[in-house]
Amino acid sequence: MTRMITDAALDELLRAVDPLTDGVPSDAETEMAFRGLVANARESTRGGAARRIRVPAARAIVSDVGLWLEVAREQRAELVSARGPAVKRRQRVWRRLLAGTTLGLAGAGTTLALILSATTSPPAFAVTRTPDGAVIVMVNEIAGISGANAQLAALGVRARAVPVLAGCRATVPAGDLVGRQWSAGPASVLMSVEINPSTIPAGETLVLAAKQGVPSHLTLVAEETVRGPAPPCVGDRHPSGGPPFPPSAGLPLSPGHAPNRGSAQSRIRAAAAGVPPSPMLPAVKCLRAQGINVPDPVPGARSATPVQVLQRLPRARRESVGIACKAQLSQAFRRQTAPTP
Amino acid sequence: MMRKSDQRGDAAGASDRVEQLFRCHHAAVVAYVRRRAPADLVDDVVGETFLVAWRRLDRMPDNPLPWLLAVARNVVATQERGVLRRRALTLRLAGMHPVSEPGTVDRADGRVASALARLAPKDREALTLIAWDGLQPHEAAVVLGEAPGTFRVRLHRARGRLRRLLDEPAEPPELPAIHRIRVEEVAHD
Repeated sequence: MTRMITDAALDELLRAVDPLTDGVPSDAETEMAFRGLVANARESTRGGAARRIRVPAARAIVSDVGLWLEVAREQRAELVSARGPAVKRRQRVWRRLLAGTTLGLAGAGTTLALILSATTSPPAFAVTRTPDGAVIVMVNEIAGISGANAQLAALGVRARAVPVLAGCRATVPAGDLVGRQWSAGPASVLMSVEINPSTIPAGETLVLAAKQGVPSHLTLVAEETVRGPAPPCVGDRHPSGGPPFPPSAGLPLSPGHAPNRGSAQSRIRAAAAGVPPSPMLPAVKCLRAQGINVPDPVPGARSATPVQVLQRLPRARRESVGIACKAQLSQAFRRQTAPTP
Repeated sequence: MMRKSDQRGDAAGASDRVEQLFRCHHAAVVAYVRRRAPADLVDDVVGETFLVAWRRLDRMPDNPLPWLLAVARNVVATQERGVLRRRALTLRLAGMHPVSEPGTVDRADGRVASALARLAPKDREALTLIAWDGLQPHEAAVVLGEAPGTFRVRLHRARGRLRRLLDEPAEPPELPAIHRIRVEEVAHD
């Protein structure tokens, strides 16, 4: 009987008794842990116990803002920005940044490793149009929402930034899922979302949910579209019953996130180019509704990432999620196995 | 002599690398530690692991995950030794004797879990690094500090032992001694 158990079957038996019940940490937990690590390192350095540890005064950030800066510099796009008392100082900072004296810009269409000083104050909002017709919206403060919306309206883009409020009771009819992009970060990071107006269905408005946590921490999410105008606010959960918004501290910059962010952009671009959305999208959406962090699917392509994420979950959790998302997963698999004409 | 600007560049590069390292491997390290350490130790162990990595960036191999897990393994062992020592001291001061320490695997139910628990610690670690943590044998060898060939032999033998344990018939419930004597007496008759 023992000869019947192959190595693979034995590994499967072992995985069934995997004691990992808490799952893997979310991106937000990773971000918080990283901050804790930096704080601990600072503490150690202060005490002189670990003087070799070099605590970063500036943090390396991979952010969509790199693309935004690149577009702004190369295309001389109009930057609508600068509110508040620090306008002139911000403009000086941005001129310096845009001059590229402190930044090494990556190639077009790629994200960029960007080091920003913690003391740099970015503008409250910025809206710019890219050469391929996409619009990049950056909102760094809740106070910047109205300005960003005014600029979006001026550009004729049916997308609106909407604050996330805990007590919000606004209900709106949910539209079609256009996509979902996460953009979040701490104080020194700019939050931006790239949208393509052509992907927004007629008569619908793309909601960019902006959640302000502790001061200077804001999360901007391109949520689902709604039919008609955007609501004045959204609750912690989307009216359509989607997953909760990520915590404001969330900065999903993990390696899983960098391609995630890139894939979101490429998906939007691909949509504009006529490439169909990934067949994994419903499954990804369902998994996220179950509280499981899955990277954005690649447009027009089938990815095994959701399945890999599922495999890493404890069995009980995997089973419950499998039951909840059975239809979407089987749909994704059916399409995956179907011969391409 | 290194210029200050070079030092700043090095520091920035090191910071970037630490951040990248953390974001790449934090989830895997947390999962490894959660499987092997009490819940209240997980954060400390993971933090200590990455602090060690930060200090030893210059020694980081190209594939850092096995190296990180090896550090985490050592930190878990150190922390558990400390915890067990403190617990034993507390019990001794209270005039009590420690009962068997339940391990992570012992808590799991089932035949596979009990068979796994009966293996030698290193054999168990070899199997779980592959099955639970998804490492390749040459990566798991780094975690255990063994040569790849040595690890493959260990893994092969551990799988064999686990198969044998799984193949053993379930032990019958222990009968009271008096019953056994009676059965033997009947058999002699």
